[in-house]
Amino acid sequence: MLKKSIILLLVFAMTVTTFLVGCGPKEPANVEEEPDISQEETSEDEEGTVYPGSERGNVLTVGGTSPEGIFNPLTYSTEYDWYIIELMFDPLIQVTPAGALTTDGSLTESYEVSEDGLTYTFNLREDVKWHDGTDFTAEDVVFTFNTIFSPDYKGRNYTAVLQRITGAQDVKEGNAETAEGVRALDNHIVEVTMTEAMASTLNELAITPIPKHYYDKATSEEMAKLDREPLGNGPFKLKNYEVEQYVELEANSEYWQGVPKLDGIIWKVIARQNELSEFEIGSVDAVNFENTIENYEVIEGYDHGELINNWNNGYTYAAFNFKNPIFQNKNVRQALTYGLNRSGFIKSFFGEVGGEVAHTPISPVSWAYPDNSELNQYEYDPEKANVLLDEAGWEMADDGYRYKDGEKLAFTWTTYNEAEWSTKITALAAENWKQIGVDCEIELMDFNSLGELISDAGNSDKWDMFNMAWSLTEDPDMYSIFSKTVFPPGNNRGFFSNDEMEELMLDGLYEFDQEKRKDIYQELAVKFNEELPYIFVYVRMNPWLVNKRVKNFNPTEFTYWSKGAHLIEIVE
Amino acid sequence: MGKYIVRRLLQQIPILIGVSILLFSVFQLAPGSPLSSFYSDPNMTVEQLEALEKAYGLDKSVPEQYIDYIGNMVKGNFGTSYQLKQPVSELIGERVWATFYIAFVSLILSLIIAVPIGVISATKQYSIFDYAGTIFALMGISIPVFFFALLLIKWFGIDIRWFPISGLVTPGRPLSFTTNFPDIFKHSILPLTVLGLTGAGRFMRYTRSSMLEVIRQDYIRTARSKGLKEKVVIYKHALRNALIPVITLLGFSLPVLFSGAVITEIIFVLPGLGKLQYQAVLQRDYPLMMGINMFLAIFTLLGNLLADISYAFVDPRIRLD
Repeated sequence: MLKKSIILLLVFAMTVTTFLVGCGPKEPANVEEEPDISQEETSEDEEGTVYPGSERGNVLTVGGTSPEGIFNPLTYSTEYDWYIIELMFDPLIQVTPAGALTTDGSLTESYEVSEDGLTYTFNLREDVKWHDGTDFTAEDVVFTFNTIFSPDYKGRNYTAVLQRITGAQDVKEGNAETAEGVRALDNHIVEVTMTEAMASTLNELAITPIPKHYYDKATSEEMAKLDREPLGNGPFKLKNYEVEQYVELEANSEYWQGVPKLDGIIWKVIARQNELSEFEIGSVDAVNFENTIENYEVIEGYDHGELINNWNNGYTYAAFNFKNPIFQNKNVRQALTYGLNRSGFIKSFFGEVGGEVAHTPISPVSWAYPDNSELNQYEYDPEKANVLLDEAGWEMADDGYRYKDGEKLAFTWTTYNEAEWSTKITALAAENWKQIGVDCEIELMDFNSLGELISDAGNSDKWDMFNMAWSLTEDPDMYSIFSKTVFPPGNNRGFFSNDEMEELMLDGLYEFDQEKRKDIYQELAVKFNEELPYIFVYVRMNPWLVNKRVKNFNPTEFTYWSKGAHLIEIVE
Repeated sequence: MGKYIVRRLLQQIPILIGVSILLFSVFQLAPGSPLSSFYSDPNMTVEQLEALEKAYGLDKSVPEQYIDYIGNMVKGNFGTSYQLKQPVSELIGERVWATFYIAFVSLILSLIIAVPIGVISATKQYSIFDYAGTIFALMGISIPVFFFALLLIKWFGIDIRWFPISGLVTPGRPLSFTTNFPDIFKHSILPLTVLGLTGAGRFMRYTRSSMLEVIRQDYIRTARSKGLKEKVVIYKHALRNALIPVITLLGFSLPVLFSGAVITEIIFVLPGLGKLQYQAVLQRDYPLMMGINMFLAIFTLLGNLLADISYAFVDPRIRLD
């Protein structure tokens, strides 16, 4: 009797387990089978289609990762905080979807650059008011610059260009209160003088001003107390912020470009695992989803969604350490690139539409990107890799590995575990390279530890390769990444140096003629593709899924959805 | 009793100082840097990094940093988060009630499920009920929280849409337990179910084994031979003694009430301390890591003290003087 019941129970337990396990792999597939639910809901009204989420009326709900609650254009650090900031603050100069600079919709009516490229004069708009009704003036712009220069400033705006404003360094070192290079000529004219003329100067001078009368505090800690009570001049105002839950904004009816078409915007925090489910049940109107092959398949079943599939402005890479003699040989770098099946990896990870192989440190959407035919594609080709390694003097031995002067072709690739691509590409590399006689060992650490390891020049003997990603701006400059002046702790962690390219990168920084600049960067792109300081891994898509009840929701390659948000509309 | 409590409380002070030294040095020894979040920004210059290091006080030696820290802490200032730029005490304060609410209600739920099942399993050892209870408990202990959570989200949030799948409030409504409780409760049903059911197994096993031990004791036999009703024997004499180890376990659960549940918080988007601490560690946000861990250390010590005191109530053999 006893035995019988035990068996019964075991059977019961096994049924439950198989049932549970059976649900596992079905999880993503089920979402796909789901569209009949949304169809049912949307087709209720035969006449005008009612999309899920319509009960929220004229308020747009966007879903994504939680911002940190630093709603200050000078000290924020995540993209999500920036969305909220951009809805509330307008910049000095705007960026167009094509990545060019424009005064359209910016706080500057017009600007002039002096002949020598050292003096910039901004004529500010006179009809702009802060949300409390105060006028926006030149004093606010001067104040904003000086806040960035102050010694206890903790944000990331003190860029190479801003360091070249006359007197900025004096303020940073505590020798002056304000920089002499930033002056208000009258209530609405600001003049900025530089110690050096650089091509990307205007891009970096296009800061987002904050009002002096509100943010003028003795210390950065006191200013930080206003992070959650921002005072801007943009189309929306902060109404409510609930930590890790949502940010609620309301329309600014006094906005200088006209009253926003929406009554409000809500940024709703959602979990990465459920981003498409949230869209499916209609709890968010727009979501920036992960560009995986599964996700692209799932969204095909959503009738109420429209896909906006833009390139992400950035690339991932695996860097070589040039202090290691193995990587000083160009043939070896090229062989390792030929020997790594990057396109196979990308296809299995992102499918046909989610990403492509990267070839050079410029985004394919940039004006500086050359024609793809000029770039060596390094298609997966172990044969070619073998030839190149033979040429480099690494000979295959009986144990299946290559040797030169008794030394084995072996090294370590240090990677981090927070990103899936990172652990997958390293595993693939170890396997692929074994076939061409290269012994690659993987070392895994967390992102933060890896960051510290590679940013200290004293650690250069502790790693051979590592992988990470760069996100880029609209300017194609690569001097800040590959110049020999930025060896660690600067950005050139692999100690890449090439005199000819160094010269070209400098030319690019100081060339003001757009056509000549284009030639310089296209030439550089081809050279980087040949020299390979990195194995460029992939450029990816940055897809958005938007409810069809929303119009004019326009994220682009160079601008976020939050730019020009006063034009976003909800049509029922 | 009063004297005992005062003495025990005073003993905690040197322990806390020791804990703070230990935590501070362990965090500093770990590789990584609070400035790592700047490493993937190509516009970052060396000058900029140096200026930031100075602004954060990272250019000072570790003992100097510790003395600065402990000096501020004595004054009640737990420092300012590097990453979130807000005072640590405020960051903890705005998350602590949601964390406590979720943990406390799910703990109560666990106990309500676990103790009766544990008692019945023990009194009817090797019965069908006992096996079913044990299997239920083992399933609760071994099912991965994220999997169970996603399953519930799929069934109750997406398929039949009874409950919202994320957040603790409807966007636009306040996270206030006094004015908006029904909304919060509706949002918390799924996470409470996950934590309550997965937590119940542990308590059930403890109750069962300790109950089994107690009902074999001589005084239980005495109680039975006095002719007491079985119910009185079990629930008055046996249960009270069997609960002692469960109380120890509850004492240890006090810090857990405030430490949060990282995975549940991330999947259900709850504003809890677990996720805050997790991110603080990833970003090497030293003041925030210290603040949260000191906060939890205080509750751990307090939990132990409370457990010791409550023994005196349930176990007549223990007297505290």
